[in-house]
Amino acid sequence: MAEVILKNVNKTYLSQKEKVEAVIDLNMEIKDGELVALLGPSGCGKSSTLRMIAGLEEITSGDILFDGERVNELSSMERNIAMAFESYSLYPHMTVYKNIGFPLDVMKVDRAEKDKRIHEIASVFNLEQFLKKRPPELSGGQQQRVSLARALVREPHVFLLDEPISHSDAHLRFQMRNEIKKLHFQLEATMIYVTHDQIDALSMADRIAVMNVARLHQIGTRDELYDTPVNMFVAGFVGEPHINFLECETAKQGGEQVLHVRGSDNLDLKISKAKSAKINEKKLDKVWVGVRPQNVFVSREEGVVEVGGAVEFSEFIGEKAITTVQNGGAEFRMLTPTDVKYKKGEPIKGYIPDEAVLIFDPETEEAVY
Amino acid sequence: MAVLEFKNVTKHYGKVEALKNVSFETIDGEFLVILGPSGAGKTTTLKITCGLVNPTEGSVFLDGQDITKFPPYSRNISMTFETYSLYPHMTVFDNMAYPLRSKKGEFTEDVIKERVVTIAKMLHIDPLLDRFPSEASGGQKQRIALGRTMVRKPEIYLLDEPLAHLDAKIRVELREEFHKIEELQKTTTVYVTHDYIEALSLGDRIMIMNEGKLLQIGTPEEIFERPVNYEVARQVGQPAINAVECEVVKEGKGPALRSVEEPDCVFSLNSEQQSFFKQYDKNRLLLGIRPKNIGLKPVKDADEHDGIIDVFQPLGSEGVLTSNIGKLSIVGLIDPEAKVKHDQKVKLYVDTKAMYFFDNETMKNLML
Repeated sequence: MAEVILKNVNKTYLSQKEKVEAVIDLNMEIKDGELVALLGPSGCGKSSTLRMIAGLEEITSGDILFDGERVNELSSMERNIAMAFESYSLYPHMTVYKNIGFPLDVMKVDRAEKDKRIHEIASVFNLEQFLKKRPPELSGGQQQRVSLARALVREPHVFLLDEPISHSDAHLRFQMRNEIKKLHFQLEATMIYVTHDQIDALSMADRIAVMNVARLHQIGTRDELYDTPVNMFVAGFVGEPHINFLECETAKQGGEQVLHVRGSDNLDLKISKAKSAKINEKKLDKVWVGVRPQNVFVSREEGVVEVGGAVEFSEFIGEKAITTVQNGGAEFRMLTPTDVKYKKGEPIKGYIPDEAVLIFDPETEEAVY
Repeated sequence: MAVLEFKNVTKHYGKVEALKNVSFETIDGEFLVILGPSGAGKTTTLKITCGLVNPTEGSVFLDGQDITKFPPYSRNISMTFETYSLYPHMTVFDNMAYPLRSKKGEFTEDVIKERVVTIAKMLHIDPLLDRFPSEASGGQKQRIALGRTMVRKPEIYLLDEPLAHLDAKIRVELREEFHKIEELQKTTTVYVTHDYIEALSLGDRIMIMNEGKLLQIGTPEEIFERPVNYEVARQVGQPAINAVECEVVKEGKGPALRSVEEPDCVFSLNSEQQSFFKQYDKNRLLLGIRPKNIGLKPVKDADEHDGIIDVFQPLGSEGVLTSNIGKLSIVGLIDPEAKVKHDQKVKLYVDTKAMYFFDNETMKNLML
């Protein structure tokens, strides 16, 4: 296994028409045995980053080190990595059995051991019934699993996975996340996983690196990204359901400083003195407040910051219900019990713990802590 | 008024039975979602509705009129496809205006402009009208395709997996926007998806299909809380419902259910459930328990079981815990910030009043 370090890594694509900066000034340390997810929207630079780590793309500037050794000039083969990429081709003329076994053939693993490993990994990914088939006979999702199995049958320094489960249905993805996570635990492998789907990232990663428009915004555990995002992009991108962003102005109510939600009739957030002090320190009279719907509770015991309004509509989605509440021209969403049916216009109150009220500077969009 | 009706529609493609005797009727103005996995027959249903494909047997009615033999252009029904099919050499404006220009002289250019701009503003794509599709993002392309279907004000909108190829984040945003597009909310709309969250969120009613058959049609609550069979229960929910094959044990304090895979695991029944099982003449059944009814916190009337943690997936608003009760693997939902470890011994609480019982052969919900 290996520790992977990226130092001031840049990737620029040059074409006749233009110069595209795909990755800018990326610094990241992935510890030995860690599973780090590179998460971000399409075009954020995560795949370019992975391809540079893999040796499939030239590094425009900066260094990539495996266990302290600079690998910029080494080929993919020499880096001893395993890849399962969304579009990484399988050998169409070979059976699934041979495809999965190929890396072991290259490593000259003995026949009995190879057979055992192939069957083990095939069973993990529900591929036993396909071992004698060839890739063109399989569906997209099945081919992806073969690609994943082929990558995981070895024991390389680093596993690089690029959207390896995107073409499977929801239930299969759930099962495969369990399997990847278990394998990670058993192999204690360094894994770098690229995805645009935060569920993949949240469910499997030790830490998540959030990227947007060529830059790394924050790298941290799920709890860190949830509770202390560094800016509005991270707070908005990582979070299911989507965070509420409320435009607020500082105001005085009964001698205390509150945050009045613009456009609302009476949404005045009574935040703690400590938070108010931080806002005043930065001399902000306007702020963006971020509150996650799951932190707006129906029960008064859960939080001190009270909000309320009239029910606009309720989205029942099985395991949870998301209710949209209106207050004058402002609205926010909260999770409500699934067995309660709210009528449109019904008054409702929500209670938010003070630490769940995130404050952002409207100019820089950075969090104020 | 736009009531769509299918009467005994069957469709064969050679040997493949894409639709098997499908009958249903929409409610005027409803947002009907067809939910099912790949190959269920959802797209075939839409194609037969708009006339791109003819049924092998059966008829299609629109407002009581038999339109089965009508060609697509004489049915006032619009369809968007999963792959947007925008004309790359035309501007966004011209793409959206295209359906209005198909018959020369039908609409004046002024009317066309007014319609296109109104719809573009509704879908927040008015800044793109002079651009070309290649300059638009995936989410924007989706909206352009949708706008193109909306300009002719059809009686029925057919949307085939409109969010399928978009990033997860954008899918959620657009799903929320669909709620706010009044035109779709008040006009009969049939929306196809394989994503049950979209179905539950958007549908006034949901039609569950699988392998060419219509399994159930009902409101989101009906589908979720009273699935007609195990297949419906399995499709609606993430993670999928736990399915435990059980034997009815009748000794002791009253009927209880013992897992076949792990005989040490017994699920107790409340008095109402016990009365049912006293009469039950079979020995086996399939027990269904939704992950949200299994957790680490005791709830009223819950069954306590000794379990060992297998894998924990912390997500956004909940955490998914896969554990083993002996040899039985079971999935529950817990606090996403819970600090649990692989192989940790825990007590699992199963809310037995929320259990579903399915016939282990027919898969039918025994309580309905």
